[in-house]
Amino acid sequence: MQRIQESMVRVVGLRKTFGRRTVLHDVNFEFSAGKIVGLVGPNGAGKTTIMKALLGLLATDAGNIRILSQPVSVTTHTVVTQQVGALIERPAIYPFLSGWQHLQLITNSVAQMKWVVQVFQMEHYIYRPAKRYSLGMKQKLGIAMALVNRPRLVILDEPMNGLDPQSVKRLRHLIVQLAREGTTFLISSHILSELEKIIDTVILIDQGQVLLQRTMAQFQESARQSLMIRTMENARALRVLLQADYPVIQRGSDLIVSKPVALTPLLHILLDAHIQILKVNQYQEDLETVLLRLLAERKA
Amino acid sequence: MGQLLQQEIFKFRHQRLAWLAPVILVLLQAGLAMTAHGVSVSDQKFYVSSAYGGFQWLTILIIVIGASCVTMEFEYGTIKQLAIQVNHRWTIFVGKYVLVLGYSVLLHGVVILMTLLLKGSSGRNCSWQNIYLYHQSLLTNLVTNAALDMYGGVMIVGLVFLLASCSHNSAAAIAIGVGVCFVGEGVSSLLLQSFKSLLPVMKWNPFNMFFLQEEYGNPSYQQNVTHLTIQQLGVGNLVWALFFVGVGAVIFSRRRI
Ligand SMILES: Nc1ncnc2c1ncn2[C@@H]1O[C@H](COP(=O)(O)OP(=O)(O)OP(=O)(O)O)[C@@H](O)[C@H]1O
Ligand SMILES: [Mg+2]
Repeated sequence: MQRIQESMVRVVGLRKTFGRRTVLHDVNFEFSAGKIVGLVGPNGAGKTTIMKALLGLLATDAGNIRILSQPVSVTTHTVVTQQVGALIERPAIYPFLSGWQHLQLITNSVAQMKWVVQVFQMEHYIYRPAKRYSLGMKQKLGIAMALVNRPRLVILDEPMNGLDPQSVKRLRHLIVQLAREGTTFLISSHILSELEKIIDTVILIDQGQVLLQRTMAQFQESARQSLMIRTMENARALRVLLQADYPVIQRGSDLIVSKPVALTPLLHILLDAHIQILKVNQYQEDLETVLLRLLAERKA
Repeated sequence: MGQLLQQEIFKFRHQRLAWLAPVILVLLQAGLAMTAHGVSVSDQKFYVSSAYGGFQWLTILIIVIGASCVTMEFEYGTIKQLAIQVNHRWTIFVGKYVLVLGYSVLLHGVVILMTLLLKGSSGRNCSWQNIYLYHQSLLTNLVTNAALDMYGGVMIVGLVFLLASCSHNSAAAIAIGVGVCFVGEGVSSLLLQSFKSLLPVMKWNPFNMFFLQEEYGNPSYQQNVTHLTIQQLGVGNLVWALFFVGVGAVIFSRRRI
């Protein structure tokens, strides 16, 4: 249990400029070991730049990065070489080497190589030269290379790129399983519906700033709930509910109550008016809707 | 560093060019040996001591290999994976430099072996014990040439590595590298002839150092072309090599990835 509390990544006041453009302003975040953290935000927000900085691939202008309490910079990142696996942007692949040889470059453990080949079902092409791989095959190899050493922190930039639905599902299960065993993940992805299924924490980046960092539990609280009702007489039902001060609108053949409300009193009102109810459904905003709403609110 | 070098060797020996280069060299040498069949004994000696043109071809191949060895990491995006594995990026650069020099030594071995074979079959009318330049035997001349060529490679590979770490694709680095190595001598001697007053400084320009091996073969070069002794050329080569590798390593480490 001690390990769960340990701070895995801690970023304080990170700033990065390319020429005169500032692409990261005062970025701060922190998360502990064993978590699956989603790094999300629009194109050009700075996700990849943050990940590169975490790996010591990029000279930063200001700020402090620590992984497992050890400092990370371009010239000092022993902790990265020993404890971190990563896939950044596109997989690092030599066309003249086979997948197996790529794994050999990273680890000496044949058992771990076999394990990762088996998890990603790469058996039938792992010995072929990588120049003959498809996009998804290369992507799987890239992820396998990040995982084969069983690092304590895994950084994946758009890992779902080019993967088929079945592989996405396998990857999801693998990530959850490894996280349970103590591996920490930082994952950026635009496929929020997939990300939502696995992450514990979300960090939203926009224009080089951290807009928010929340656990999924906190997120679910802030997600708006709404109620959808369909009746035999929608027009009359709308009138009755408005009279009772419910925030209700008609959308198509449904009535939408756009606030969390107690269900029983609302149904009583309808039943007392002798309106027949056909369907009642409760909706909760998903990650995508909430994030888009937050981004839109910021613009406004 | 040891592990890094092992990785580089692993990658290198899985590249086709690594195995193709000796074959190409041997074929080119054999080609020249065939055309040199009926020439006079003194020409025969010249061909043998210059390994049937093997050293020249070897330089081109080493330039190609050296340039692509550096630029490929940026082309394939593999530099990120490499940079994560080491604390200082220049160690990757130096590792590659050592690898290419090591390979150059190997290729020189191949070239010498092939020369021995070719002379055995086509150059019977002059013996290894025949005295050639510097009152030394033909064999000694050949080996000295090989050694000087290898030594000159230290600077050439350094220069190519520097060019490669500045350029975005290997073709450009190769083209410029080959160009510089073969036009450089001409440029240097032209400079030295045109600006006589600047000679004391200009004679130390890096292109002048390319003459090392030629000056050994043609001792008159010291007076007419390079204005430096063999020893001075040797020191110049080494100093420029250090300079190129140093600057190259800095550029390589600073390059955005
Ligand atoms: N080498 C570079 N030179 C100049 N600007 C750069 C460079 N790399 C990135 N940028 C800028 O930094 C900003 C952040 O880029 P980054 O790649 O981190 O975005 P991202 O969040 O990963 O976007 P995406 O979702 O498209 O992958 C962008 O505005 C981009 O233009
Ligand atoms: Mg990106």
